[in-house]
Amino acid sequence: MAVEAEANGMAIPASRWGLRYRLLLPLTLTLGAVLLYPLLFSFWVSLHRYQLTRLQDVRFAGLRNYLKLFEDPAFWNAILNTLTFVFGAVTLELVLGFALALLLHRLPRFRHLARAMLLTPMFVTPIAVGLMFRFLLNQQLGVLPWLLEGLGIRIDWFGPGMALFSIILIDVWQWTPFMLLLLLAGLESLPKAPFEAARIDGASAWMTFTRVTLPLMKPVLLVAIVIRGLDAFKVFEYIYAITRGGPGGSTETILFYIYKVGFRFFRMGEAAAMAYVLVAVTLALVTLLYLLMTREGRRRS
Amino acid sequence: MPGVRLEKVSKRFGEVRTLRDIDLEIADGSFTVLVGPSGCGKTTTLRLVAGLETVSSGRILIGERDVTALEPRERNVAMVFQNYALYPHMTVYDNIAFGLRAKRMDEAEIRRRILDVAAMLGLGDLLARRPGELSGGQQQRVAIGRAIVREPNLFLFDEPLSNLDAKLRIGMRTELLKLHRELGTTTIYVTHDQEEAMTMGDRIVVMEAGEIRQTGTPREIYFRPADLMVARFVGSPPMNIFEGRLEGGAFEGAGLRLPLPGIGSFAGRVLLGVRPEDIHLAGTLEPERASAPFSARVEVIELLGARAIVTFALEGAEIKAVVEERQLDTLREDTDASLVLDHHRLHLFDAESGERV
Amino acid sequence: MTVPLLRRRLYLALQTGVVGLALLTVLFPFFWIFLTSLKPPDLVARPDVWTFLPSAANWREVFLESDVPRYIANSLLVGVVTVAIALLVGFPAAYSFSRYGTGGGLARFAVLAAEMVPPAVLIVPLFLVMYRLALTNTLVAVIAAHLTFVVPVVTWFLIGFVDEVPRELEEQAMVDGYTRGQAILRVVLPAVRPGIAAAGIFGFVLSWNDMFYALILTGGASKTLPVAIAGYWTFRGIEMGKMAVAILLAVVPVLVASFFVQKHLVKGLGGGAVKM
Repeated sequence: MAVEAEANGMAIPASRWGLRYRLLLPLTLTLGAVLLYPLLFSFWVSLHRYQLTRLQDVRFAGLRNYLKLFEDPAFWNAILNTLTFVFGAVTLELVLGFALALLLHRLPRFRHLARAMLLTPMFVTPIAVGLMFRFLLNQQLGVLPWLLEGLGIRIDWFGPGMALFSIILIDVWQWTPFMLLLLLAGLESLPKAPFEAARIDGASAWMTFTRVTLPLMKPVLLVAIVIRGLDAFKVFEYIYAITRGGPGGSTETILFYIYKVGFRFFRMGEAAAMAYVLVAVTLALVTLLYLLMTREGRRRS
Repeated sequence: MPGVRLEKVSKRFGEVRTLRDIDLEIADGSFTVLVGPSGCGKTTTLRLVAGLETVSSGRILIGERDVTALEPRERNVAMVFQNYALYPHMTVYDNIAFGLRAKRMDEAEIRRRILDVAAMLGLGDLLARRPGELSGGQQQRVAIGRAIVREPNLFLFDEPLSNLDAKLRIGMRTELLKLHRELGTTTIYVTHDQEEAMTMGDRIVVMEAGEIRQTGTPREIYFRPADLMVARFVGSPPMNIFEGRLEGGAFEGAGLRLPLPGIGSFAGRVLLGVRPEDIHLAGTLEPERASAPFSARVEVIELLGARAIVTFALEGAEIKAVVEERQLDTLREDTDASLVLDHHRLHLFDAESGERV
Repeated sequence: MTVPLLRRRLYLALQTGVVGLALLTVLFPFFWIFLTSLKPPDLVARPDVWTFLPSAANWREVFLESDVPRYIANSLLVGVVTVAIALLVGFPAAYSFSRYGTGGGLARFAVLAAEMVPPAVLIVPLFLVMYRLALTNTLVAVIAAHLTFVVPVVTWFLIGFVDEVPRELEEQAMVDGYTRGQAILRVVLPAVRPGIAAAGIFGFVLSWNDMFYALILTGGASKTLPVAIAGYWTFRGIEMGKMAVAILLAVVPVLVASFFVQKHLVKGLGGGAVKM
């Protein structure tokens, strides 16, 4: 045993080498089966003409599915909608979440209660959120249009030009709490000394915010933005619940379009190819996240 | 009670050699302290004896039994960790019982033993509590109780007092020593605190950089340090060190020339070590022990109570001396004083190797 | 009144006002849906009616005359089974990552990254495999799909919680006469119990909330609650009351669950990042 440990250049005896991998085996097998295998299979499908309605006629198509995408205006429309959605939603959530975190951080009373209540939307079933707002914002049935009407305001929330923005607002309602959660935790974990030093130095509130709070919070902010951004790419339920991509494709996001192509038109090959474009985007963001997190880890240690 | 023997024990973590060829013999029933700066390998040595790490090469024997390849549970040792490692989800009673239950001892016997130990350590009222409800000192006692109750061959302590405040720490030292006298169990105790090592160990092992620098009684370590590292590490305030040369039976350096009777014919570059308490005001030491007087400027006087630490300036070097409070009258800051060294208490080290001359 | 004091009061008023407005925004939709669920069917489509004699008609219909209870059972079953598998698979792995540093920081990150794989890329093959195995429209299919995100999340949470258990605890147990396996079961496992609960509840919420996979992989009697709710929207206003009930049935359990996990959530989301 000692000899083997020598050979490995590590002092963990053979039996323990075994244990660490034995413990990992169930996870590896599970993720291999439900994650890795589908990932590879999906890639294979993306290289084939694969239609559920013509399973006996699956043919190798090379990159044709991918090339087809570039000529598909609906695909580009979905990409554009998704980017607009992600950018709009994440920006609003960041600003609102940070503002609320700052206010809540210094709330003298009921801080924990307020926090607990403000966080609730992020746990709610997204399809329920979608339907809830479809109902709340509905022109005839909705309570919000009725209240606004009293103020003389008429908005067609899900009409052309407005629908995507409304969807963004729904996302903001549900996911600002996530930003609040992370940023408030970040604020609470900041060291006190720099703030006390700033007060003694006579810095104004604004200066303290821009010169002390913001730089100290930067790592948390970046990680929060990337995680939320990654998640926002998956938007589906609100659209399914409310607009089904309409009016005129103005709310068709990438996941919804993939769903439509793959499971309404059964063109699996094209759906898989689109999914792989999404994987590429995700991979880029995930790599960014990794760099952010390891850099932060190194700085702390 | 068996002793412990380490034979040519080495330990590597990947590329890093933490211990190199340690040979160590720990006598039956002794209280041995492993001491050294952090990263010196003392904790690794302890964990190797416990079986929590395995040796890269070498052998470990407890009594006559070769335990090198045995699991911790097969070695019949008890260990107290720095952070006490109490099981947070168990009561004090269950924490202490945990090791006995591993041996499938019957519950009545467990109960009897726990009550004994609880009485010994004053834990009687705490048995139903959880660790989270105890103070640091109480947690410490529970950890010790858990070790004692198993009646092991060997106690291993890994800096057990370092999380306590100063006052509690000194109280616990005495208690641990009393316990050791009562039980007579061989004990290995790791600390980075040289003062703790001096007061507690009947034998001290000074380690540095994965090697043993010296093994001996506290007196040997203090009065005859084997090398410069040990000399500097042990004692507070630390030993004064002067660089210089030995020539014609005298030390020359730091602006001093001190004839050293009985030094023999050794010549060359040396370091002269003098403990602060071996520097005296001229005229206060018996003449046959006193060196030739020299003068130094008084810089700072720090009164500790019965004694004071006085810092003197000497040709750019600084020396610290411990002076009795009643002798302070003659000293004033920024004036010169005449000092002598105690001939019998000087330490000479080779300037190259750092070894005692 | 002095100027600084005035400014402080102004700030406090602004602070209270903004937080209050945020609370109103968050809570009002729940309130309105709850109100709607109690409206008699003929008032459901009337946003101008705020006071009325509460009626249990919607609740009665949903519980007694619809398949919603079955869909709730489906969702529960899927969530519980998924989480159970995730914990069984995730805990040993988390232990290995935390204690042996298996695979280093990159392996930890791979767990996090696995959670972010877009559902779009998994659904096509999952559907095809289930279709081949004749498992579409069964709960097995949804469970398999939910494992793709619940297992990574639960594992990620657990890595962080195991990291926090001092290594000395199990070392103590091993010195005390137990094997490593026993030490894991009797010391580490109980010590991370709150973490396991938090990870399990959070994983359950994610499974409970999913509609995308369930929509594609289930149908008929195997529908989960979110899929069933999605089917409630019709343009007859009369259905709105029942939809409100169904929404509440989906929402209330996760809200209750959320209060239990909130305390551990930040730590859990931070997961294995600390030692990455």
